[in-house]
Order: sequence, then structure tokens, then C-alpha cells
Amino acid sequence: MRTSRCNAALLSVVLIGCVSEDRPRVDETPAMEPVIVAEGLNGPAGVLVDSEGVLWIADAGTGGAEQLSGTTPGTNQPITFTWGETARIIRVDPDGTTTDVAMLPSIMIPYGAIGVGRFAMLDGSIYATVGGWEAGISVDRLAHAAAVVRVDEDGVTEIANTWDLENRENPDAGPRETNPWGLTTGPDGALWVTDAAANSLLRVDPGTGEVELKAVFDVAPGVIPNPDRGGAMEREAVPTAVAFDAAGNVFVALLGGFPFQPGNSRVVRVAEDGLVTDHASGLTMLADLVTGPDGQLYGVSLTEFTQQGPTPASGALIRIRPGAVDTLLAGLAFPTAVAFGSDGDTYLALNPMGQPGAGTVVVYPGLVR
Amino acid sequence: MVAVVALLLGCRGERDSQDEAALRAEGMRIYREQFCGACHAFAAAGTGGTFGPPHDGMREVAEQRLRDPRYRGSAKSAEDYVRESIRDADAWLVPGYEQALSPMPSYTELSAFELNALVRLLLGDSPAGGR
Repeated sequence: MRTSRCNAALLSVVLIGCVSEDRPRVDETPAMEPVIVAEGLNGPAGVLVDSEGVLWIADAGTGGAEQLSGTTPGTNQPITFTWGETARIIRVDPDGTTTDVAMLPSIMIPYGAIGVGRFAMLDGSIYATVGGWEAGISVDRLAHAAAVVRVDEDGVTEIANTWDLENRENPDAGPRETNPWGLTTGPDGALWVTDAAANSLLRVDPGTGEVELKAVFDVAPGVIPNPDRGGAMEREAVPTAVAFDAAGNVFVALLGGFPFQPGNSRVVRVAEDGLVTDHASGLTMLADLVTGPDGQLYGVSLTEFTQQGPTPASGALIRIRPGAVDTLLAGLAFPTAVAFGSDGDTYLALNPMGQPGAGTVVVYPGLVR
Repeated sequence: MVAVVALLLGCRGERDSQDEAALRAEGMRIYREQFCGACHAFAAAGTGGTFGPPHDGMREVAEQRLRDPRYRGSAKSAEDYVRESIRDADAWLVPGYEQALSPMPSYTELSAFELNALVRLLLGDSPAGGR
């Protein structure tokens, strides 16, 4: 893959932002240098810092030697996937000790591997979204693929899978495919999941494994024919992350579907009855959304994707306030996830797509308080 | 007389060359307008997409694919192959790209002229301009 240009200036960043009296404080260091806390990663997709200061990292893996066969949706062309249990949940203790605590399915596709996605912490246990699945594959769903899992002293336990609902109901009326991705704990004690392929928001009961459909995200007008929609000029929503504010309102980041034009990404609010309304629009490739230590919503823009393809080092960390969006960091190399630790420490997963071993997690000490 | 004929043929050749250049330039405009570079790397266009196969050396690549025993389409020439790839993407997906981030659309709405311009761009020498 032609990723050499994407590796340029991996850690060259510029702090942009204004400080005013009525805005949450951002550190005023003019040029903040990040500290690398993990490197050599394969497609880091999620980060979380727990109450004990442990950093959790989701690694997509490198596929493997096993093969899956199937047919492409709509064309019935034979295809072969490779996969292996090379996706990792990595634990980094405050003293720097790094441990692979779980190995999970990693399925290789042309632009990279799909493995572990995002994390949530609930009742002292770590939960993660893993992989995806689709119609046409010749075998039954792999264990732990298209699933929410719990990792604890007992090992990895599959709590729920998102394929059953998608295969049964296909709520967005698109191809039958699921990719549980965004994950957070709700004020109701449940796990909330965005399915990036099925374009849905799901609520998962961690005790029973019941998966409840909470919202479906509609297509939006597009600029090229969408083969998944019969050639209609439409683009998929692609929900990448879910977050709650202090009042219990749920917000979802929508990446904005291929060809990912700048300004086509947005944050929506989902009401109790599943009604979806715009909260912030005009954003670009929002890959993650979290609630910061100040109660505001923070997200990462993956890259500026244009008619020439992805623009190197064009990712950003943004804060989404009512009626305004602030850029805190710019020039980032494909940031895929953000998490906050104590004292405003801001962690970012940087993920040069398709380049094994080139992913990193960095921290900006005290960036957001 | 021979000199006049030679001169006229030369002028015609120059005009054909200009027409071809104009056609490829139009192909470049369409290539960018349809976001081809979002998925395909093509040096002449300065694009770096990675979700689909690269477009450099397309004539040779097309001929190789026609000889590929896995090929399932109905094209018989490089021109036909490129045309089919654009107009009827479902005819055959290049191995390794069957599971692209977004499947290749079938650009059935392009006019015959637009399609021809793209074919000339991809199979011919690149026009000046690049990115």
C-alpha cells in the first residue's frame, strides 16, 4: 500500500486554539510535544484509561494464516479472507509494564486488519468490541468476531454478538454486515455500541447479553453512486463512537461515508425514542467521540480525505461545544481514538492505516483539564 | 505534390495529437470530479488512494488481467477492460480488492464521451498538469 507519504511527520503537531475566560482551559504551551507511551502497534483503534491509571490499547492485529472463503455481497465473486488470533488487548500499567492480556480474531482486508475496536469499563471489568462479520462467508461466525467481550481474570468471555440482529433484521436495509465499533457505558449500567457497518446504535445488557436496537442512522446525499444502495447517490452514516453527557443524553459520531468529503461528518443526538437530530455538523471524518474531564464532548478527525485520497498528517483533536468547535491539536497522523487520564492527560491512538507495527499511542500531559 | 501530401498528413497528425491531449485532459477532469483518486493511486493525477488497485501502467495491467484465469468479465481488449471496470464494476473485482472499504461503483451515468475520455486517460500517456 502506498502509505509512505502518510508516515511523514508522524509526530509533527501544532497546537491551535484560543483560550478565553468562558471556555474550558487548554494548556497554553505553544508547541506541546507528545510522549510516546506505546509503539510498534498494529492499527491501534481504541484507548481507555481506567480509574487506576492503567492504559488499555486495542490493537487490530495482522490477520493470520487461517483462511475464510465467501462471496462478495451483490456480485457473488469468490473471495478469501485471511485471519488469525493476532488482535490484542494491551494493558500498560502506570510503571510502564506492558502486557498482552487477550488475543482475539484479526481479519485481514485490503486496507488493514479488523480486530479489537473500543473499550468500556464497567464494574471493574474491561469490555471491548471485536471484529465484524457479513453475509456470504462460508462458515459460521468466528468466536468473538462481531462481538462485545469482557476480559477479566477468567479470560475472554463473549457477552453478546451483533451479527444475529443484523442478519435477522438488517435495520438499515443495506448489505448484511456488522462491525461493532464504538463502545461506552451508559448511565443505565448498560453497554452502548455503535455498529459502523450496520449504521445503528445498540444497547447491550452486560448481564443477559441482550442486544437492543436503539437507533438507525439514515444515508445522506452523496456525490458518487453507492453500489450498496443500488447505485443511488447516497453515502452511509458510519457511526464510529457513542458518548453520554452528564445529563444522560446520548451522542453519536457519524464518520460520514465514502468518499468522506471534508465537512460531511457530524455528531447527532439520539432521543429515547430513537429520533436522531443534529448536534454538530460540518465536521470531518470523526473517528472517536468521548466526554472530557470538563464534561464537554471531544473527538478526533481522522484525516482530510479529498479527491486525491487521504491527506498526510491532517488529523485533529477537537472539542465540540454548543454552537462551536475548537481545534486543540492539528497535523496529527490518522488519530483513531482519544482518552483522558488524570490531570488532563490526553491520550491519542495514531494509526497509519495498513502499515503493521507503525501505530503508536501518545500522551499530551495536562492538555485538557 | 508529395510534399503537400506529407504536409497535410503531418498537420492531421498534429491535430489528432491535440485532440487526444484534449480528450485525456477531459478524462483527468472527470477522474477528479468522480473521486477516482480517493481509492486509486494514479501518478498522473497525483492521487494516493489505497482502497482500490493503482492505475499506473493501466494498459499493461489490463492486458495482464485479461490473461488471468480468474477473470470473469467479458472484455477482449484493454480498452474494453477499462470500460467494463468503470461501467460495470460488478463484472469482476480485482483479487485482493474484493473487500474494499467501499465497493467500486458502476458509473452507469457517465456519457459515452466521458467514458471514452477516462479510457484514453488511463490507457494513454498522462497529460500535463498532475495534481
